[in-house]
Amino acid sequence: MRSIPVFILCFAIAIPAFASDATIVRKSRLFETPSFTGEIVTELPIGTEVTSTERKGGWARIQVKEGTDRGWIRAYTMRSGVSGEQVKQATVTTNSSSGGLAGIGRSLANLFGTSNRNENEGNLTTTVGVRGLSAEQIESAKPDSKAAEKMISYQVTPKQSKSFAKKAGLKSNKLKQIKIKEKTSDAGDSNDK
Amino acid sequence: MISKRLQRAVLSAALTAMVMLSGQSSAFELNLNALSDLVKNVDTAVSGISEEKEIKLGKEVAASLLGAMPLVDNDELQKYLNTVGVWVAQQSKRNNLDWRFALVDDAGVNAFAAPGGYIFVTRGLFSILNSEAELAGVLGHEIAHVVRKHHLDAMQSAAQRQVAGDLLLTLADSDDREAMNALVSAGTKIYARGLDREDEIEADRIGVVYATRAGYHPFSLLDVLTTIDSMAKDSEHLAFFTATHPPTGERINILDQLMGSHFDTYADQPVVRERFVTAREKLLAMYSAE
Repeated sequence: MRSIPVFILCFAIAIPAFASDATIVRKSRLFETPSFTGEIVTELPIGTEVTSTERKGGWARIQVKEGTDRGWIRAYTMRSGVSGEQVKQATVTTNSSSGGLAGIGRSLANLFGTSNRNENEGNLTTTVGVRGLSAEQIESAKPDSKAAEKMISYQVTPKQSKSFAKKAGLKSNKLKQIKIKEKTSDAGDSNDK
Repeated sequence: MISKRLQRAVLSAALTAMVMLSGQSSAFELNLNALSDLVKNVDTAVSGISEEKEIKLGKEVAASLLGAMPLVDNDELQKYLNTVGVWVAQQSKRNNLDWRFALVDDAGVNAFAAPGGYIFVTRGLFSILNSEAELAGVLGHEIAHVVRKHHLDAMQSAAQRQVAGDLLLTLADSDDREAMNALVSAGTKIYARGLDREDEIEADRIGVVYATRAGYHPFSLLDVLTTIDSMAKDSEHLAFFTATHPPTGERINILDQLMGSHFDTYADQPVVRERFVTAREKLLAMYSAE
């Protein structure tokens, strides 16, 4: 029980929150206002260290650490828990090997693997327990039809779900699906399944 | 399409040749019936199956997955998951399906979808989420897999290869059951291996729309992916997830760019934290002794 708050904290610190340090992981335009139609202050290169002070929708208000530039960027072009030097290093490695967006994502993931290990190790293991499922376990598992019947018994009607949504102040809308071009430009590597 | 038709033609030719080469007339008749069924089954597997069959198949796949990951023994938590899930699924074009959701006892961070509307979320994943909106983002992604029939298609093409390969060897009695088994067996392999990268990216793109239509904060799936991306890469809880999904950093970058400013109007929609945290605490307490 005692380990639960620590466990939650572990994940909480990884998400950009108010007044938190972060690093630009994808070339990011800095706007004066949280809008694509706003005035562009400058373009922040990968590896720029920033302090984030506010979040508004998909936008984050930031201040560049070494400099005076401040304004709004798209929130997911930055990541916390990683230094500018580390991001630059990851980018260099990527460029010399496979390149592209996909590669940077991968390199960053490698990077987190080493930088966060000590913080997460232990807490995670003691809290959520044993090792996760493996491919072998799935392939060799005996079907459990009783469990499937039990799952089917968890019936919730659309009407019930709607009233539950309403209780939390959820209102549905008719947002259209994202239109995409036939070939997405950000293809990157396609080796990964 | 062309390759499927070609494959069918080759298959029929091979079968005809087998029949013609078969010497004994009794064996000939026996085989002929079996062969005609088998051709029909393969044909069905190739040309697409009915929704009724999809659901039947999904139930079998669900039983297989539950054989590897038991249900979390708490009806209240299961009901909560199903209520949120059905609400998100109502925003899809397959809202007529009898959607079912299961919280499963696996410490790994993962979620799965089976044809026909069966969705699974591991307790490992549920534990790292921060709000109902994040749960809705995950469920939206899985619901999108079912709507777009990603697993079904992958299973069909795998079964097709398998059946075609085994065909000349077995030529055994083949009824519907056998075609179903071939699909289920192909199915478990797909869960072990993961879907194609494009399917995962598409499920991210479509899933965020479902969650947003349901009234949730639109950036929650990105937040979940950011949490996962910030976890130690060598965490054993991520091993299977990492092996079966595109790199998380890549998914964040692509999804963020696809979303662009399309969702900004909905940025004030709630994340619904309180009742989710209550559910999560209940789950964590169940396994706190570990």
